[in-house]
Amino acid sequence: MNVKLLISTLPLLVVGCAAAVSLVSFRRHYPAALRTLSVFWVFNFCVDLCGHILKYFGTKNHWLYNIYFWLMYLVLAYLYDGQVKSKYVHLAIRTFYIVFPLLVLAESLVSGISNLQTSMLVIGSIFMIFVAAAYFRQLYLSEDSETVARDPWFWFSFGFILYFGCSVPFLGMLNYLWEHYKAFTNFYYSYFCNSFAILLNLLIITGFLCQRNFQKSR
Amino acid sequence: MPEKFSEVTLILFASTLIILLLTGLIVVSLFINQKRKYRFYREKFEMKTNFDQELLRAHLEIQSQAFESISRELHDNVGTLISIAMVHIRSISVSPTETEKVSEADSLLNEAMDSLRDISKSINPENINRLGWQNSFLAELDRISKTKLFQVHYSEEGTPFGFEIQKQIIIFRILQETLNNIVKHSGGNQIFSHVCFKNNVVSVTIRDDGKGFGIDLPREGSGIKNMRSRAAMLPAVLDIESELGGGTSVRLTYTEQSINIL
Repeated sequence: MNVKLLISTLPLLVVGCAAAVSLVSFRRHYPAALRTLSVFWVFNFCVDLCGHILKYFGTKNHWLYNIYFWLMYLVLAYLYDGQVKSKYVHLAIRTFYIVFPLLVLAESLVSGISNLQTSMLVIGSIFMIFVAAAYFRQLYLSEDSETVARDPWFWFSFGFILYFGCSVPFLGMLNYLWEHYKAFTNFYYSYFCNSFAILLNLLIITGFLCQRNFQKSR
Repeated sequence: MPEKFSEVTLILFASTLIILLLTGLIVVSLFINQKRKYRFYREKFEMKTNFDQELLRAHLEIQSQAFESISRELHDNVGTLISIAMVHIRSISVSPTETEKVSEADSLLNEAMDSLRDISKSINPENINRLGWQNSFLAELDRISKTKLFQVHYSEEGTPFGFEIQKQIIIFRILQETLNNIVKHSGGNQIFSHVCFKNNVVSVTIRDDGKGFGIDLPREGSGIKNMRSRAAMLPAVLDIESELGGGTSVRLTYTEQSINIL
């Protein structure tokens, strides 16, 4: 068995599972935000699948992931806009809606779309960590007596903080590492980044399955 | 170059590890905080429940003492005055034409005395202790029947069982309040009451054929509120159903934990 192939395919399988499980949100009474995230996660799986196919045929797929990450950060910001109640975070998200596309445009003009736009990734990831942390803060200060383990957005935020938090150092140095230490970059990406991606998707699965009684909360 | 590489890897791994630890710390502290919050709210709720129960107990105690005092005053003072009035009436020498009026006055005083005795018995907690809730309830139905304002129907099924006297008093007070409400507000002619003993559950249903009230009543009166708080104290289930023009039905269901078969 090709170990390298297995290691690179395993995250794809986990994403596929997460996408399949997320479809449970289309049961009655699940909030619209969960259904939107579910649709997005299915889209995420499709993009990842295309990315793997392109990689298999030796075609550069960075453009695909650039477009995917542009959408991902905006969609997640929109979803968190509905979850976080703080007006300052709402203001920050609205600012992000304006600033982020400008940043994307600037980076596309400077370094093009075919290379992975690491600045966009770092800024977007830091913003995702910020909104996820804001949601944690909201949970911390909340007077709601329901256990956090039954809140899907707790699990999602946990996953996003873990994934984006652990990816930011690597993504920030990605171009430098790729230029100077290709083998190490490959190794780190294959074992560490993929592990964080698997962890993220497992937490996404947990979030969708955490059995919160949405009928009761209506 | 190897130095630079080890520097880079150190930064990379160290920052990733720090973020992992921080995330873990945040999540753990969130769970601990939740647990503490939950414990705090549970204790607060228990304290409030205990306080409400103590308040209600004190209220019932004061009410019980007041009833005892009123019962004693009715019996000792008012009863005595009526007895003296009766003695005076009977000692009057009247002309044959006024004998009928005097007899009627005597009869009315007699009736007043009987009513006074019944009322005094029905509100006296000692009497309820002695008779038990069921007999006190029957005595109350009998008192209402004597007023001739209502036709009273009573039925029973199952084997009666006994329980703590304090709970019997509370049950009786709820039923007494129900009957008072029927007399004051229903405008009906009939009262149907049914007592059912089954396993360790006693269920009392009192129904009238009065005007009833709609569910859009702006708020419950203090009488119904008292009934509900007493039922909650037992605890028992109190169901009140009413329909405009269709009468009112009140059902009290109490489950006893330890049974004494009577």
